[in-house]
Amino acid sequence: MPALDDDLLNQAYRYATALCGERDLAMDLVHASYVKYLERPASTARDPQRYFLRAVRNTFLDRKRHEARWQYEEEEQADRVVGLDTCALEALVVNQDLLARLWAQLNAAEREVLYLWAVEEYTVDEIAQLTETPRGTLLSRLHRLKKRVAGRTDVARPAGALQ
Amino acid sequence: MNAPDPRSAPLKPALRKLFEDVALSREELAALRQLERPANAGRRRLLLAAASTAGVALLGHGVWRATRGEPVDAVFERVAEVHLASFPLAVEASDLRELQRVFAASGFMLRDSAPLASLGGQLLGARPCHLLERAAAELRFVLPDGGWATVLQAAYVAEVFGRLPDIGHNAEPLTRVLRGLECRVWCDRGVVFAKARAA
Repeated sequence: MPALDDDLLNQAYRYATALCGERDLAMDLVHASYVKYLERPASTARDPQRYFLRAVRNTFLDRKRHEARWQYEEEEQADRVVGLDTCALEALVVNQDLLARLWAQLNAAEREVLYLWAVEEYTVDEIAQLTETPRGTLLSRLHRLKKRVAGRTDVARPAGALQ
Repeated sequence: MNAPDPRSAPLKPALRKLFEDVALSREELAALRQLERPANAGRRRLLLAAASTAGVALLGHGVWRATRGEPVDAVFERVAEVHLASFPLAVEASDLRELQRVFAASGFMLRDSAPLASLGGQLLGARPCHLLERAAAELRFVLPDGGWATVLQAAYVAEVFGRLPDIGHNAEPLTRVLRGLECRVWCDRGVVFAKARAA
């Protein structure tokens, strides 16, 4: 596969940081994923950027499976999803310091969906495609995250609310 | 009505701010570029195979748990983790001076330390990595018994790594057996070293 430019490597590093929750492991993950990526023939993917992000994710999942620690909660079933407008998420106002603390409490799946939505500005459909996760599962996850953030009155209040 | 909290922001920009300073350092980018060199292709395959069978695992396992304890616990966990993962090397060289030249070009000065000489091993190469979120280098040695040793080194910051024995003051390295590995941690002339090898 062709070499990636600095921007794409940094993008992958941020994604890896979101998945791992810390930078020590994120660099290791990007390093190992880049080795695998470079080994693949150039004809493997039409979109090297997406291909590499997926390689990072798959490497992470392989290791998590090895640890048997990568588990989503049982309630993440598409049939339990209620409608969620992502605008509702955008309307939340959070304190930066409390958000950093909350972030540290999230699991990898929750960090991943929030990262791709907020930092990469992917739509739910694009996240579903990249992560090969059913759309309903992602909406369910976002819905629970919204409740979790909004439920912390010390963390978030609706935009425009009286303080 | 209270004044608005200046530290508050809508969720999306607030999340972006968390990642504002997340970027690869110059030496990390240089290390990834080294992997693109065709000469490293065969070696990459070999090490990748080793990595996949070496019980890679461990992602997220050690450091998060360990950092809740003393910093030195996290250093021990990290060096054991890196040793078992056997990540592909970015630069292959059997001469420390050659590695020093490569790393110096990206602003990282590799150092030698007396306990490394006592390994009696042959240097294989190095790669940049992190140690408790500080820029670090991993050196790998092949040992006379056919095994290998991993050495991490980073600039010593007492607030980050806690108090470590300084061999410059005749202190002995801390030693622990962790995951079947003999691990040692010490400080030498302002650099923290962490070594792992099969026990």
